[in-house]
Amino acid sequence: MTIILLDDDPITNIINQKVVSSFFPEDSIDVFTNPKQAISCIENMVNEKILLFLDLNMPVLNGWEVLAYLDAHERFDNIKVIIVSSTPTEGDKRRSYKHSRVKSFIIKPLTYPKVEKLKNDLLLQD
Amino acid sequence: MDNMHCLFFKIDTTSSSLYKDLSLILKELGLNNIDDIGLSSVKPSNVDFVFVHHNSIDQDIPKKPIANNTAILILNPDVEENFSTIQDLGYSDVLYTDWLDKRHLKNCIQKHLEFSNNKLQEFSNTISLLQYNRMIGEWEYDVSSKKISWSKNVFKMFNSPEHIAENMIWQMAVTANDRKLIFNTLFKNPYSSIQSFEFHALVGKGRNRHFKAIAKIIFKDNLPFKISGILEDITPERESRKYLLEVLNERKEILDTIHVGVLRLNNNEEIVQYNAALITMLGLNNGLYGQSMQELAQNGAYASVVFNTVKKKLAKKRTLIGQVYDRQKNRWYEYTIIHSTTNSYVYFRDISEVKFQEFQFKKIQYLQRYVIQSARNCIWVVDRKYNLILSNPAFHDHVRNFYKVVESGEDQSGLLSQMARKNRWQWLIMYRKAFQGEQINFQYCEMDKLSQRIRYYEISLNPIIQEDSDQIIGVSGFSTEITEKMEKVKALETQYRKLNEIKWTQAHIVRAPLANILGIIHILRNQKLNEEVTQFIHYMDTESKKLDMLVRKICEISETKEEIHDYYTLR
Repeated sequence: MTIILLDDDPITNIINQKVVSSFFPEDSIDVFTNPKQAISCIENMVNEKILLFLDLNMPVLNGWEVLAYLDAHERFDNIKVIIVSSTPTEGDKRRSYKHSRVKSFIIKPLTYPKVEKLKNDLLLQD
Repeated sequence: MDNMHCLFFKIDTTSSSLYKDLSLILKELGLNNIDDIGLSSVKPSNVDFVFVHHNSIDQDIPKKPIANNTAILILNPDVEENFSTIQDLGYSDVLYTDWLDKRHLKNCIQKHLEFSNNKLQEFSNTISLLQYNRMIGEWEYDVSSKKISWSKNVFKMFNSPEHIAENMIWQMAVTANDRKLIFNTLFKNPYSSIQSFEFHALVGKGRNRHFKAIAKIIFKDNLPFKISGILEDITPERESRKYLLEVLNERKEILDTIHVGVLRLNNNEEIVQYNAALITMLGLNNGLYGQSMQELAQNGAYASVVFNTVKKKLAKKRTLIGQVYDRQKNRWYEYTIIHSTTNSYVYFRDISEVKFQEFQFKKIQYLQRYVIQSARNCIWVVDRKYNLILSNPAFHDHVRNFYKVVESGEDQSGLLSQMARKNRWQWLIMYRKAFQGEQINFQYCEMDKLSQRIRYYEISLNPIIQEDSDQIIGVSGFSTEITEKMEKVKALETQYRKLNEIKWTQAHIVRAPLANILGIIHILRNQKLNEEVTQFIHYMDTESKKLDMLVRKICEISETKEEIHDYYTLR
């Protein structure tokens, strides 16, 4: 499985990478601050299991637009998404879960217990 | 008056002076054979006039003493007796002692001479016509021999051959009871000049015929000697009378079955006919025949108000319809007066229920009008040609404010033509939809030229459907001014926008770096560090989390305001 961390804030990405890598040591982790770069990377990873940690509020292309793009193509069915947002609103959470590929909605910061729980949930879902 | 014989009967001693006066008057009148010696010395057949003086108040008036002449009663004016009783006693006329003078006496004698001559003439004329009329015949009865004889016509009328004796036919045709009754009638007042009676007889094969007889008793030596007369078959007349009675009864029955009260009055405004409905309707007692409208209007009791009103209207002598209220009974009546040449007809109808409904309707109408008039919202109705047919003051205020054209009382046709061109089409489209049966709700805004302020309205146009025909006959309009609400909503929107900005700032600008700090602290707390650093990181963690809680709270509040905005956002 490939893990992709997408957030326009590089410090956030550093924190997220540190925490995620400790629970997914065997999986490769790709980090992006530009959504377009992340999408072009994903385009090249057809038929590969991908877990995308996605921030919602980004310039150029926000998290909702990335989700809409992924939903528009069947070839991205292999991608599971974890929303990582700094906005603690119920509205965003409800909206996220309307996308079937969204498996969890996590409020920043990403911590060890949150990621551990996420991993367990994903294992249960599989 | 030559060769006239008069006889004067003295009843009491007071008559002697009167006799002298009367003798003088009769002499002056040229009656030359006055005799006061009494009936025994005079042949009754030679007496033309008999004067009977009755002066006593206590005693009864005597009967006419001699038959076959004219008897005049000379009466004390204090004796109270009516003329029909005097006629029954056989007298032709009455003179009162206080009015007894030459002129009165002469007039009286002349009148009765003429009457008697005329009667005789009529009688002989009738007799001469009898032979030509199959329905009339002559008859005679001899009192002493009890023999009846009659003319050929009577045989025919009794449908009997002429060789059968009249007495036998009479006994066979007329029942014993009827025969007895006829004789009793004849001899009840034997001195009456001419009498009449009716009877029915069976004439061949069970045919029942009705007859009328006119009889005159002829006296001889002051005793009934012969009765002669004429007989008339009045069966057709009786049958037609019977038929007429049936028709009348039928008419009365019909009148009594209808709910309209009917009153027929003669030219003196006296009641000639009425029906049961009138009695029931006006709560009257029966027995109104002959009563005048004047009496009924003045009796102060039963329906006098009604009769009083009708009486006044009757005087106008023209056909008219009116209404009258009987306060005592709390009932309303409609009357119709129709005049013919001889009668006036008044028809009554109890319209109380209709009137009460009408009052109730008017009351509701008044309340509705009051509600409409006092409403602060505009209410109006237009017909299919967009003519304004109903509106309240609020509507007029609005129209006056915005169009400055329509004034109350002026011609308000063509409501749409009062509007500005740009708005006219918008309204026309809405009205057309309503006229197609759709209920239309929309918002509308206009610039108030007085206050230079935009005013907002919620408009509702509803089709008015006529119940019986299901046709849309108009459109009702209701408008509520929502300017204040709209201004509040706008203020809320501005507030919301600001709150949204705060929320966004808090969520993204403030919380994003805070989350990073919290993340770094979290990583550091999982590292092996010296005790002092660990302590400070703990403090940092605590304070950062407090700040995070504050930011989260602000975000939550912003989210609540979003719901309020949703509520106020206009459709």
